[in-house]
Amino acid sequence: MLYKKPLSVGQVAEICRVSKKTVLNWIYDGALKAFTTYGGHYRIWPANVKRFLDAAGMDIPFDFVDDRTTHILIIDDDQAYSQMLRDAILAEIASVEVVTTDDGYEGLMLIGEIRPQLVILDIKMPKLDGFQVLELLKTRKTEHDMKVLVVSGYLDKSTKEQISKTIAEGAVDKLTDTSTLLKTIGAMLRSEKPTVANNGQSK
Amino acid sequence: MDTPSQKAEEIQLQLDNLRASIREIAHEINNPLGILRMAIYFLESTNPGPEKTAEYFKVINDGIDKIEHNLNRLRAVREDPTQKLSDLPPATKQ
Repeated sequence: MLYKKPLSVGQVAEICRVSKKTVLNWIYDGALKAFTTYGGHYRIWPANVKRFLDAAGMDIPFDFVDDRTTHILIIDDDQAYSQMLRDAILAEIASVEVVTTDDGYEGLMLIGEIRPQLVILDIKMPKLDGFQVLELLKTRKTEHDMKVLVVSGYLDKSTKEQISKTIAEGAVDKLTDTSTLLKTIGAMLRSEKPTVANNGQSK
Repeated sequence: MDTPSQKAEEIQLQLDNLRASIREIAHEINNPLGILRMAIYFLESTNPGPEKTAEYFKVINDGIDKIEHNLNRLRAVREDPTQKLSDLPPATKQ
C-alpha cells in the first residue's frame, strides 16, 4: 500500500504491529512526530513514520509519497527583504511555495490557512512583534509539523537568549550571507536541526 | 547642585540611552545591508533578465539611501548632543 495522507494512531499501530498505546507512548516520548487535529486526534505524516522506522531500526516495508506541497511563510514588515528572500528561496529550493506578509496578525491567520512547514519570522515589527507571534504560536504549534526560523536585523546576546526560550528552532542575522541562509532553510525543511545562526554561529 | 548619587544616576541614564540608540541604529543599518547582500547574491549567482536586474539595482539604491539616512541621524546627534536618536525619524522600511 502506498501511503500519502496523514495516518491515524491505529494505522501506525497496524503497520508496526504494536498496540495503539505503544504508538501513543512513542508520540509522548517525542520519538514519533505527530500533530493534533482540531478534534484533538493525533495524526502522523507518512514521512515521519518512515523517519521513525529508520531511526528505531524497525525493518518494516513502508511505501509512501508525501504529497504535501512545501509551504514557507515569511512574516516581515520589511517588504523589500521579504521579496528578495522569496525570490532567493524560489530560485534555490525546489518544490516550495512562498507566501509573504508584513503583518504579524495576518501571519497568524495564514499559518492556520496554509499550514506552512516553515515560518520565517522577523522580530521587530509594528502591531504584533515577533516575540508576541512566537508566544501565540506556542499553543498552535502542535497542530501540524511546523518550524520557526527567526531572521532578525540585529541579534545581540540578550535577543538570542530571549529567542532560545521560545519555540523557534533557529535564529539568523539578516546579514548572514545568502547561501548560508538558504542552506539553513533547506536543512530545516529536511527536518534537520539548524546549524547556523547569527553569521554562522549556532543558536 | 546634584549629589554624587544623582550624578551617577544621570550618567547611568545617559549610558542606557546610548546603548538603546546603538542597538536601534545597528538594527536600522543591518536591515538594508541584508537586502544589499541578497541582491548582490542574485546578480552574481543567477542570470537575471534586464527587468529583474533593474529591479535589483533599485533595491540596492533604496538600501543605500536607508543606510545614508541612518548615518545622517547619527551625524545629527553628534553635532547636537541634546538631540535624541529616537526623536529623529527612522528611514521608512519600503
